[in-house]
Amino acid sequence: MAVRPVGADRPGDADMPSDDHPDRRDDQDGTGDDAARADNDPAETRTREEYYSQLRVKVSRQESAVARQTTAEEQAAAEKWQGTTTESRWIWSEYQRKWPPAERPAVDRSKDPAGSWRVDNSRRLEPAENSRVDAECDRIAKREDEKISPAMRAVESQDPDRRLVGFEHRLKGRDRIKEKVYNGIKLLKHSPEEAVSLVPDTIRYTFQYRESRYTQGVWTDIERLKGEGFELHKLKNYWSDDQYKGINSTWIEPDTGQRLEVQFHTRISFEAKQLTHTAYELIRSKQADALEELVLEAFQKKVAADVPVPPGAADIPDYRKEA
Amino acid sequence: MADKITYYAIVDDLSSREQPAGVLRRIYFEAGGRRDEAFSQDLVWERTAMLVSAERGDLDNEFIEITEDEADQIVAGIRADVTSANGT
Repeated sequence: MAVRPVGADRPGDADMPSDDHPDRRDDQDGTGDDAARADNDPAETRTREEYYSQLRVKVSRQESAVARQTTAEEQAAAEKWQGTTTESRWIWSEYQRKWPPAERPAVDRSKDPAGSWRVDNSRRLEPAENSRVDAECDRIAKREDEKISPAMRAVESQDPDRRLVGFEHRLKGRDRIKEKVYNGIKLLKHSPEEAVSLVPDTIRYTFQYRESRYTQGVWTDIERLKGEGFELHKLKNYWSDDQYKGINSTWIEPDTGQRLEVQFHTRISFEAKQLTHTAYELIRSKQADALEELVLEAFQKKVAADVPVPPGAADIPDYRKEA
Repeated sequence: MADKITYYAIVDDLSSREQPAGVLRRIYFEAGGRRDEAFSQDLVWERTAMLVSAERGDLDNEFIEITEDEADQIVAGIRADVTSANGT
């Protein structure tokens, strides 16, 4: 069936096109199934009201059929995922039996100067660096509270069919920020302030969608975020990756220059992220030996492999704003 | 013993592929396992999880695979900068 592209229905739109609307049946050019008729078709005898009433019923039936199929597919995926989580939790319990968390050596901070910060035996911020980072984190928290979270809630309110999850974790923990700042100072030669400003996820949000609405939902929310004034800085699609599934993006609030991260997940991809978070933390913390790291990475890949990819999600392209 | 080493230029928002912010190497061992190291401002290769984080959704930096020669040039640049800054 050839279909002419039309704009999306919006709240407040009339139920049928106005007299001068191009979708009116008597304005059609023969490409539409229902509204247009070839020259030798019988003449339309229905009134405009009857015609659109019948069309609405037909479309509604088609949408219901699609919705039923989608629900069945989502239900099947949910049941399969339930089995996956049960198995993954068992694997994780076996992992913990082999490598008990309590056996890891504690970090010795006894000789550190007051006001310094240390994540492990080799990585430390001096008191002056640490103080500058804390001051910057305070400023970021203020921006989040006064400007960014209200705007994000405004975006969320525009569609009841998806929501922000993990909102209580929107501010990244200071220890993790400082780990990244350490990398910025020691490995990339930045000042403490520069290093903090370059951390893209000191403030982070996650939108969660149903599988069937994911792709369109992401596109729509990207436009909504732009509509709130945020500038898209970077977007990376991980749906084809083997350790992590989802889309992560970074944005800039132009008045303050503050960076923030927005992640786009389905319920299952978000749960997969949570399920593997401790494994990731252990790899990242460098506490695991080579064999343990292999096991942890295999665990992440196993969980990620069972996450259903929403239709069209893998086709959303990466983006990076040019300097 | 290292079986294979892959080098990456680290590029962030204040740097570029031509002038990267740093350099990272991923060492694969013959016996199994691997180790990631970045060349630090202390002029030593230091273990890091930056690339692991990027593989897990972290967007702080881009990691662009480069040759060993290119990596050597970045290391030499860092050495020169640090030495110059220290006045030695």
